Amino acid sequence: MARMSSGRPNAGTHRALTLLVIDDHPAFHAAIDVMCVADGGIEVAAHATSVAEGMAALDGEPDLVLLDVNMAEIDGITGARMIIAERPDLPIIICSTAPRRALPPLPDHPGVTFIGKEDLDAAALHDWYRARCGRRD
Amino acid sequence: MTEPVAVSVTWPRRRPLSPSELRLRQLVTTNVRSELVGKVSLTALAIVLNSPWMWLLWATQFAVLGGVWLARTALERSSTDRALLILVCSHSVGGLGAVIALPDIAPLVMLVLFGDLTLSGFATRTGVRPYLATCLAMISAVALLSLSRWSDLRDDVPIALVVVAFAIQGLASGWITATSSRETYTRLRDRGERLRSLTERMRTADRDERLSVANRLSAGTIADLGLLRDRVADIHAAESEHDRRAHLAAGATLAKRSLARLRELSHGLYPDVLHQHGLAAAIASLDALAERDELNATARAVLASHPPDRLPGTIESAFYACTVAALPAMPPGAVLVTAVEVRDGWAELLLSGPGFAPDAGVEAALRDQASAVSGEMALIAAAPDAVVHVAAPLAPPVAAGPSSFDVQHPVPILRRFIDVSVLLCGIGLPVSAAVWVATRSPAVAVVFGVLCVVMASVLAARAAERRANATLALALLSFETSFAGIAVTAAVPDFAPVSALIVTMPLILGLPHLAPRHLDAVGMVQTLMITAVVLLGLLRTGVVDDVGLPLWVPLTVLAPASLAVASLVVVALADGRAATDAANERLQAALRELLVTFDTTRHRIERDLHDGAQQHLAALAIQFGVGGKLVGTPERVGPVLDRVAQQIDEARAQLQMLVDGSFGDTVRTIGLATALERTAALAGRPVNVTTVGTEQLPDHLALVTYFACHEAIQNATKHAGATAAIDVDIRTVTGVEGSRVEFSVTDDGHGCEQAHLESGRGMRSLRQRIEEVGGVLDAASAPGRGTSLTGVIPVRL
Repeated sequence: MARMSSGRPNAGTHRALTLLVIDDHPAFHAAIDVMCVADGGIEVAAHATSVAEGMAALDGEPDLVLLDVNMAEIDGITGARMIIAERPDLPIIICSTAPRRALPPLPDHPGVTFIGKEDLDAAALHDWYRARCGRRD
Repeated sequence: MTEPVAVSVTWPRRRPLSPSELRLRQLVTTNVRSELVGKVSLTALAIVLNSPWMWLLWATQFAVLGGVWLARTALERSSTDRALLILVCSHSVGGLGAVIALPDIAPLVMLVLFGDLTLSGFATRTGVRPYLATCLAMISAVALLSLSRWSDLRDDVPIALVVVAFAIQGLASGWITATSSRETYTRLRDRGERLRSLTERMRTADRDERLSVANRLSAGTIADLGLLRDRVADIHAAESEHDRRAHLAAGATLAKRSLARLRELSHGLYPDVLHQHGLAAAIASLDALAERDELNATARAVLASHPPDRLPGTIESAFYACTVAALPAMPPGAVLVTAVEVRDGWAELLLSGPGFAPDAGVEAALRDQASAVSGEMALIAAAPDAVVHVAAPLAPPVAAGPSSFDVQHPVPILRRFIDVSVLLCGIGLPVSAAVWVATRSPAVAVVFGVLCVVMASVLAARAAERRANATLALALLSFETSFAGIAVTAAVPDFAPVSALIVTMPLILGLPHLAPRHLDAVGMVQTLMITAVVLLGLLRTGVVDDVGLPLWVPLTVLAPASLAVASLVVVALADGRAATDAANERLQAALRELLVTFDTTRHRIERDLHDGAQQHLAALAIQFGVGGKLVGTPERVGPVLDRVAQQIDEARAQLQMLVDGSFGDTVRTIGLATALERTAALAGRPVNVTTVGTEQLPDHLALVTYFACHEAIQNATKHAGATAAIDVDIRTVTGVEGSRVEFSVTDDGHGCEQAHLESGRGMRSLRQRIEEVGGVLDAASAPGRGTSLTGVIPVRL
């Protein structure tokens, strides 16, 4: 089951960027939590450990999806296609510890990009969201 | 699937010929050349004699040439079975024409057909039966037609000329037949030797590579994690914000660099992209690999074509390994073009590129990869722009035959041959006695006498064989066949065709197991014997000269005898072939199984590295980055650093456990007891380890015991449940039968069905490992009653 974030909504002027993190590695989820706490402008809307859980968590209306590639049952590339079919406007960041060139082609969709896991930071998430959706209100 | 790039390649007309097919083509080509010389002489003779029988002989001999040409064409088109059938049919047409025109030539024709029989070693498993049946039918026809007296050709030719021609032809044909017979089986046996040596090379390469990975993990990633831990300490100790920021940035950089190195290491160990996304994606990812130092610095690989569906896993692995092995043979900056195709049940790979120059080492590596999947490799264009063609059957032959059948021990083949010989002599003795009573012919009396000697020799051979003295049995059988051939022909020249077959028996019996030089010696003796039989039959100067037996005698004795002897040849050939095939296929199947095991182990290690250390390093890089952002607020950076330190410790422990468990490197240095205690400490639950007298165990036994216990602890950790306790007990016990190490790993967890426990590859692999050192392993489990693994290994110092 997808785990909904227990953190309180950010009380800033702007609404926080909400993330759906789909990855079967607990270490990655924990690192994203640390990043969100430090940034203050990002919140994890839901943690999912599989594409199926992630699809169910789309109901939480996240602003951005962080999606791992190598997962059991449904891989992240297929998962991205499924999310696009369901929510074509939702920005997706596919991430992996493997280099981009070692992965099969990503879905040819303007809302999808790739960032190596080790290069992920809060700025990269904000940048991609802004590039796709403009400023948050 | 990754799309192929637009590069055109020209596929060869057919897949590469196997060594055995190459040899067959060589044999056929040699025969065409030698026969051409003979045919010119034959044409001159036909013109001089101008007899219709001579022209019949001439025409059928040219039909043989046409047949051989057709057989060669079929061979070029990968139809080995068809080529063999065409060959034996054309030889038969030539043989029948020759026998009708000149009945005395029958022994020589038999010799040619005998050579064809031994070529059955080249036929496929499905093609061998129809091929042998065709040969038998042709041999019977030749035997019967040798009794015909329609032709008057012999009267037109001076006997001296015929004797000389037959002697020369006999020696030449005998030697060619002996050589081709030897070659056929030497090829089959060579394949077994190649497979044995390939298996050993693969095993050594896998062991060396895994050890190298273990060393690189210890010296690389584990050391990097140690440095990261030092960084955290440095950050805590730093006095200024600037220093803290610098240490955090350095930590993030080190984590990223370490991850990059680990990624390359994992990819080299097991390219997960290949198994998840297929060969096309894996070849596309070689661009990333090309940056690795150990490969050519700038060579790239592109995929020109690929079938729409994925290939079997072992073939994809082999083709990928071929591409990786070929890359270093490319000049800097050049592009290796790979193309993959499926034709006629074979998957094919073509490697080419400007400046592609594989040296002997690369060629050997490519050939090894092809052989490992029952395939073939051919260099179809030489350097500098070499083209390599690799092909592997999509459905390799399945090992058949009883597992106890060992080609290295010829006794079962000899036994069968001796039993059949006893049976035939048992029939032959009363039949020849009855014929003698009816005809009172001295020739038949001689045959009866010969059969008595043969029966005595065969019985003596049986006694020798039962005492496991195969050499003596073979020597006795050689004697009886040579004696029978010469004596019977001397007695009844009409029996020369059968005698020619009889004297070939020692060679046939020796084929599956005698060394090539011994086969040469047997072949030489056989050639002389056959020539003697041919000349005895021709000259009709034996004990009984031109006896003029009534036709019913040869019809009732000669034809069945021909069939019987030919059947013996077939039985011996088929036994030898079956034994060699079964042994080779078992070797090939064992090699395939070994490769699958290697793949499974490597995949597991790669997954462990991907899911463990790689994720930790990526998370550490993120968190060092986050720390850098919070460095100005110590109360906020503190918890992040604590978490980073905890994660580093966790990653190191996991990685150390992986290195210990998968490579066993530390068992040799710290000993079995300490290594297991470390495994126990990392299991995250109560594990009670008891070891008694394990200090003196030889390294290899300590390692095997460690692997078994480590695997069992890992399994219990994963499956027994969060609260299950694990007990490990290892002790060396000395009894009247010597020392042995006994071990057990038990847990009080969930347990499972016994069948489920036994069905896993892990248990099979573990059991195989224990059995390899002469031990036994038992596993027991039941739902709700925990699981126990117990093993006993004899200690041979």
